[in-house]
Amino acid sequence: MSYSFKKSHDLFARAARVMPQGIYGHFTPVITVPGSYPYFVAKAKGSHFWDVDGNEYIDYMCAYGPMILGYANDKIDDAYRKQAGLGSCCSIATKLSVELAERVTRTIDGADWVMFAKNGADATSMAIMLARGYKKRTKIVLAEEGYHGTQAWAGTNSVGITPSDRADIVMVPWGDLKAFREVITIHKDQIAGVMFTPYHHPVFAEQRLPDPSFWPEMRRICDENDIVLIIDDVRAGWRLDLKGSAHYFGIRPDMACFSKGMANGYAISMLVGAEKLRITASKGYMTGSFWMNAPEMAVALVCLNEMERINITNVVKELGETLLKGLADLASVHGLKISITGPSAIPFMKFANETNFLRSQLFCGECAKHGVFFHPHHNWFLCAAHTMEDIHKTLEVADGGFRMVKERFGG
Amino acid sequence: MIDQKVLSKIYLGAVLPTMETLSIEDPGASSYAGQWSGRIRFAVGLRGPRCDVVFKDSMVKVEPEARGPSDIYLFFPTTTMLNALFSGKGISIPIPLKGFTRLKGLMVFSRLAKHMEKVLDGATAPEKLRARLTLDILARTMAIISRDDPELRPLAKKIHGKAEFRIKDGHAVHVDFTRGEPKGIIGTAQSPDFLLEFATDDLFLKVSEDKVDVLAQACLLNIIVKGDLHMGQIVNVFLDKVGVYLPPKEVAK
Repeated sequence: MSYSFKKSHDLFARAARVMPQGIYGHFTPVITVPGSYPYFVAKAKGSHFWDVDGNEYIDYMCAYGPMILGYANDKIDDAYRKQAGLGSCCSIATKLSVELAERVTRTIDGADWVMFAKNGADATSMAIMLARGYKKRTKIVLAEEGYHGTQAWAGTNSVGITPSDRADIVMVPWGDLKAFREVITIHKDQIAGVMFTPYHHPVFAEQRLPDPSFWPEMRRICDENDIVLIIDDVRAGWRLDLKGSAHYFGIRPDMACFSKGMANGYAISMLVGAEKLRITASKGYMTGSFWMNAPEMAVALVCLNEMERINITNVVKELGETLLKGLADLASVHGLKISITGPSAIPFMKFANETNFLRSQLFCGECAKHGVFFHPHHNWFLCAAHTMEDIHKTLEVADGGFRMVKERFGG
Repeated sequence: MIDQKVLSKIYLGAVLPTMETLSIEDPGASSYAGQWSGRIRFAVGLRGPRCDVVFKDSMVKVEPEARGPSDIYLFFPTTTMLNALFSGKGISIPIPLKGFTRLKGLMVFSRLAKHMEKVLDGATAPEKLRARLTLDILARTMAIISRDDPELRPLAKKIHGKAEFRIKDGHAVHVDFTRGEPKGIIGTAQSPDFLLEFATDDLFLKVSEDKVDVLAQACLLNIIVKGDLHMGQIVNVFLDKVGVYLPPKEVAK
């Protein structure tokens, strides 16, 4: 039976009176399919969540990445509660910050030092500041359609941004070495750093894995031109390789940014860096009221241990492969053409014969109304709590979604 | 930032053409239009924006080509001077190259322009007509700024397809970014790639006046947002820029 969302909508009417947009940022229901999706969650456990109307979902967004072990994971939440009982936001740092930093530098390939913060945007902002400070240069190269947060320099917003906010940002297409070389020539000795995601994961478009030669060549070009190479691993981090996605793709960046899955939903991020940037980092004043919170650090330690113990990257990869094979087979049975791009643990599915996402919106909307939470415009996430039973049930629901697309669009 | 040349194209190519609909749908406008027959040419510089406003049989037609003889020829040395005429800000003294003795034609145009201002202000016309005229201005202006605004032109090249704006069970317009130069077209698109549908004329008018939280209304299903949301994001930048060229108060002029 198709879900209804009356309580979600009623609650939203209240929200809209007291918060701009009602729900803002990437949580806005506008980027799903309003009318076919829930707006507010009531509880979550494992790979499932329940909305305020009592509808249950198998969730393939995993809170847009942070839930890597699953919602309300006992080991994680116990670690949080235990540390919270000993104090949360305190007047001085805790021993946990040292232990976590040591753990991270042992785990992440090329991490000689680490600085903790709260959100991915904290880490990406610190990274570009340090890159500029390191070589006393101003310009930063970013990829078109790349996402690094909503800060003024990051180019996500159209409101309240002045040309000067982005005056020293140079954009190139992701993966385009020729374009990168060209901007180096144009801005000779002015480029402080380049920040790319390890593979291209734009919203509203197919994901793109790097050509085998891309990252080694990027490394070489950056070294030749004294450009700091930064990997924004906030979204993909931990699902490809515990040592970092850069390690997965065979290179060692100068700095890398992590967050999302690092503490299974608790707020912590970090910037890691190579030895050569340590002194520059030591000169910066970077802080936030909650950056040294101990419970999140306790959780991150447990989360890292748990991810290592269960071999998280294999788990989510295999679950993803099963799901994606099932979806591809079903689409084929219905005579539909789908494209699945990106790593199987972080896949993006769209219909191959459209650019306007109308089929995706119908498919994902139908799935949401029957208990499977996909996203029509954004990549999905697998987590360790997904089960084969989840996937079988998901495919049953997807079968109905594909049928609707076939009926409505014919192909 | 406002590009004065783009603004003059908007006045001549997006705002003035609404006189056509107005003269058909609004009895007051039709009555003014019936008081004179003839052709008034607006021209900026030798190669700048231009158009003819033709009065005939109580109706108005706006012809962008501006060819052949005209009864009255208003020549504006600069775009700023033409824009001052329409915005009412600054000094605008066109050089009447021809027909300056035909005062009646100018008076009829002036009365009709003032009437249109009142209609768009909401002072005289029903909401339905006002919404229709505003939608028409919106589509035409979006096409003009997509083609000609130096900041937006590169952005327009990133999108491909048709964006439709409509009132539920009412008037519709669309902007075609499919090929070549973007075009503002009155009426529905055959298969829009991006759709914004407003539940009522009133809601659309409030959105056009920047008085509505659009994303919240979309979640409340009073505005339907469908299709290529990436195109929608870019279209939203264009909509914001329409508001810069024609601020809500200016739209009503």
